[in-house]
Amino acid sequence: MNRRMSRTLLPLALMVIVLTGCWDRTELNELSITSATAVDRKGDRWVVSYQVLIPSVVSGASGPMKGGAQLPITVYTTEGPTIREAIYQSTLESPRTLFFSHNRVLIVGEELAKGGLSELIDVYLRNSDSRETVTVLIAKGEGRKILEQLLQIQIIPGDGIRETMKTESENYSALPYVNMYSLAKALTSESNSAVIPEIFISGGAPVTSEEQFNSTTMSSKLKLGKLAILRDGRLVGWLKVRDALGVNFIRNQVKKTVISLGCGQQNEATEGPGHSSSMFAVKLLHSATTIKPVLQGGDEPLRMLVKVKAEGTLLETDCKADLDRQDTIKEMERQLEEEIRSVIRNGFGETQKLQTDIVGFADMIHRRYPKRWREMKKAWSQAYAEIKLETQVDFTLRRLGLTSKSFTKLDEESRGGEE
Amino acid sequence: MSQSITKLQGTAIVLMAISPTAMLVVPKNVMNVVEQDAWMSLVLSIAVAAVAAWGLGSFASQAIGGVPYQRWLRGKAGRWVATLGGGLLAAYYYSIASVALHEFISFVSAEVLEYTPKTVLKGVVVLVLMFMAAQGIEATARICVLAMLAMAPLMLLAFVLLLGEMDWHQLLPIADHSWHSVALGGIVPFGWFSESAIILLIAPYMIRQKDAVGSAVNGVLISGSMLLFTVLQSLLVFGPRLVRSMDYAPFELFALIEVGNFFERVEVLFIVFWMATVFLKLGLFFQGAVHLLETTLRMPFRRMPLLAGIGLLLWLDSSTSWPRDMNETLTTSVTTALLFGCNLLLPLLLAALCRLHGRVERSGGDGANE
Repeated sequence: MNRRMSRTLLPLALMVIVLTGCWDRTELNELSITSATAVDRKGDRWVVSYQVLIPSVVSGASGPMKGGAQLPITVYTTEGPTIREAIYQSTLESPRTLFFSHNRVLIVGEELAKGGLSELIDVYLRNSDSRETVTVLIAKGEGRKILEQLLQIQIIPGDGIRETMKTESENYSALPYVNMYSLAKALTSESNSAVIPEIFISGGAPVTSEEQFNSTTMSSKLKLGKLAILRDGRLVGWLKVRDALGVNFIRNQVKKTVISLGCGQQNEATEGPGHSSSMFAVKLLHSATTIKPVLQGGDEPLRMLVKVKAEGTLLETDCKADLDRQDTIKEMERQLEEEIRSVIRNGFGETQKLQTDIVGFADMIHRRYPKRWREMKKAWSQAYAEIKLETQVDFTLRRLGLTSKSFTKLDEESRGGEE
Repeated sequence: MSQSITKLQGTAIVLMAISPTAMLVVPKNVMNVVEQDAWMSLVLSIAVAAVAAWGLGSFASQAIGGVPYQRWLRGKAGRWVATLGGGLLAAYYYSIASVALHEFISFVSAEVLEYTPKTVLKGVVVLVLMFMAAQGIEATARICVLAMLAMAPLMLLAFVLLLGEMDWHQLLPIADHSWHSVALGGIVPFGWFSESAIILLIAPYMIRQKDAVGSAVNGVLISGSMLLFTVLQSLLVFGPRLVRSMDYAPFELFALIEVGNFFERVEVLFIVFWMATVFLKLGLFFQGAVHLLETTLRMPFRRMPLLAGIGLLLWLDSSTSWPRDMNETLTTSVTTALLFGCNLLLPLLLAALCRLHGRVERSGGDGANE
């Protein structure tokens, strides 16, 4: 009986499994694959722009576009009273349905950021076709302009922007890599603050056509700029790249970076005063920050003890100091420590002026002093602005590169020998 | 049915009865109450649930090999108690199958097959459930073991891939909530752990009935550990506040996995695996309902046309009972009360009635002897 029943039920089950796909089938040639999106506000309307791939061009090109080929993307914009309606308005002008699963980048307009990002984040958390891993950037002015800009190195500009952001975060670490989920997480933390890196078009006229594109020197390029500061989901200010690096040190998000310094006392010690215009550059290879909040009683302001332990390698030097001497190395390390301290202090000072805790001190205090935090929470912005920061930096110069003397010094010595 | 279920298979069945729905419901629910202290609620819940599973397993281990639970109950507590108990449990297993089917299809509809009518999807699942019921519990038990063995490496893989996203500080401050809140947070998970009561139905078909205790306790401990692991992962990656708004936190978690530009959107792998475990849970509960109806009403529900009848009922019930798809039906206090009532209180009552009936019979026998 069971076997007979199995014989009846199994084909039935299999048949219906195949049929269910009919409603949700998606043909590739019915989709508009978006690689980047820009969202902004115009009055009370949402303006959404899309960078849509032209599949025949993308699949035909093995690298950057070959001479005279079509452009790999097209950009268009729709408007609506809500984000999703604006997106659905695209059906009025496009034969294909927008497909966001491969969307790499989301550009947020400045106007939108000033008004608040809650609705935008809600769309990303609510819908399964929008990925929380999308990279988020902010643009002053129209986000559409960023989407229109072509990149030479990477055929799909959206991909290129995302890779630029990742490379910067890995190798320069001044601007953090921000995606939708980390943005939502930061805005729902105790500090209710977040950051978004800026992207802008640097140079002359935007590169949007084939003629401009097929040139070895482009008139303009996409570039990462400042760091936007958000409090309670709204844009409240900007940090310069240097200050953003300081903030990233506090946030323990510096992976690698380069610090350039004047030779200062090194040169003065060996060559006398007036030889401080020479510079040296150190690549920071590793950095770890630990923070301890100290909350004392009474009216004492909150103190934060920031300890940075970093190490690096000498990349370049024009200094005449003898690098074989221990005290020269110690002096360089001292200079680096002072520089990092200064970068941290300045960056933190800027966030205090904005009364916006983007470094996450609120969470640290909540973790260390949960009871006191409940009282402090109400007036956190003011308390944050009064925090005393005590920084301690320990820098170790691990390597000097392949040569111990600077070529400037070597050159001078050899010329001195000739004389 | 023959006595062929091993202790390992029993453990896998208990695990599959608990995990698939608990995975969906517990993270959001516990964190809503105790935020970063969710793990404490869960540990407490697991400890209490292990004791309850031991009690249920001990009661189940008294079963006689090959004699269905309801029939054994008839011998121990009388015809009326057995009929009432069997009927109530059949209704319970059927209702959980119906709720879980609705929740499962709501998830599939929201995440994967948005435009396919849910009635069709439910119809497909019901056909599979009928097929599973026709194959019997042994076949389901073997698949449960395979699924259980696949769970650990998958979870480990997810953990390794998400390690970079985790922030251990999210666990702090520890014990920020009162013990009252911690205990309150443990109620919903405990409700789902009480699904270990399924051991009562499978114990008669185990090779050794004494193994029922071990299977129930191990099943609770393994599912508890997995749930704890999932809750901790969600907490460490998203933080307590974001999880509270997420209906499907574990899958949101897997959606973050990206390795370079070539390994992404892997949540579909985890979703497919989870769907397989849901099929097993639904299959177990549907079979539970069919089995109890069969033994209580003494009619061949495992065969056509009665099997088709109960399948059709499940399909229609699940398709028409809920006007909305919100993920709430599994988390209401009514559901939790139902879980406690049917998984813990009813067996406790039945055990008490068995003992009372035994005493009455013994005293009656003694009286007769006198």
